[in-house]
Amino acid sequence: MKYLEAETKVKFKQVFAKDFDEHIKLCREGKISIAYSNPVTYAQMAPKGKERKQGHIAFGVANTAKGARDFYGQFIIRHDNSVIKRFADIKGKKGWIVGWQSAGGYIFQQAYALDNGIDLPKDCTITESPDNKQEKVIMAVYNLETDFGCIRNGMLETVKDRIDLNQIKILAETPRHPAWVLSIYNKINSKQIEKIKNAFLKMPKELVAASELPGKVENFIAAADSDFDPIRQVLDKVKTEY
Amino acid sequence: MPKKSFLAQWPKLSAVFIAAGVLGLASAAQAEDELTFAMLPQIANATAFQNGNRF
Repeated sequence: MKYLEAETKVKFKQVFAKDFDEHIKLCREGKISIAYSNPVTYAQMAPKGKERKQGHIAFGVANTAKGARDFYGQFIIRHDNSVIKRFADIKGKKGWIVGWQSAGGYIFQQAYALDNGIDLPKDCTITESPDNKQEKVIMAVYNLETDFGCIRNGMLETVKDRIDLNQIKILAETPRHPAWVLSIYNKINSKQIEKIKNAFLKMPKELVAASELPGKVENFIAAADSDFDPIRQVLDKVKTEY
Repeated sequence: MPKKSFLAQWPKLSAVFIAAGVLGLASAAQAEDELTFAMLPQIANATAFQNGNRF
């Protein structure tokens, strides 16, 4: 914050929305001027044709050692699963998802499955993870409670000390998307938008590292609203509102 | 003492209006210069992220 204030000569106040819905609402209304969100949430707060003229416009994405497009879904199974050998084999099987609104734990996987001729809720027996926990999906697969599981990339590493990851096999991975988006309310004057955008994009790496954002963010790179059209296509396919 | 007409008071009043206008503009500019920043609750609450979450 101090860096941003010094660079832009603008005073910043950090606000904390209580949940995702409030975050989206405050961004749409401009009560949050600058936001750091995931791409699905971004699509929900950006202007949408004639339907929604006010909202946030993306100006940057987080960049990591693995690049900026490091957000995707995985289908996991037990390594010793003798029935599921290829993706088409999940048809008719039991699967766990993180939650019906979870991008990396259902929405991405459902879009991928539809592209491959499988409609998860119709063609499989789907269970939602209690409390929408990613790790519970992994444990359900590991403990043979389900045939396959849908999780966000990076989640297997979080349980590596609790289970033998050699027992888990990644069956398929969805296309990759930007993980974290910087956006600004579109009614703020363009001079300020430019100053703020420049300040974020030239933020020193050590300062970004010190903020300890999830996913080991190294720096921010420029982005535009159209970069999120693939996300909108996924949401349209899965019939998720945005 | 006879009451001063509105016109007779105008120079004083206009000074007051101008001052109020300047103050108003200053506060509007100040409001515009203070912006809000928010991270998705999932990020703001690092524990929620570590423990698994909606996204």
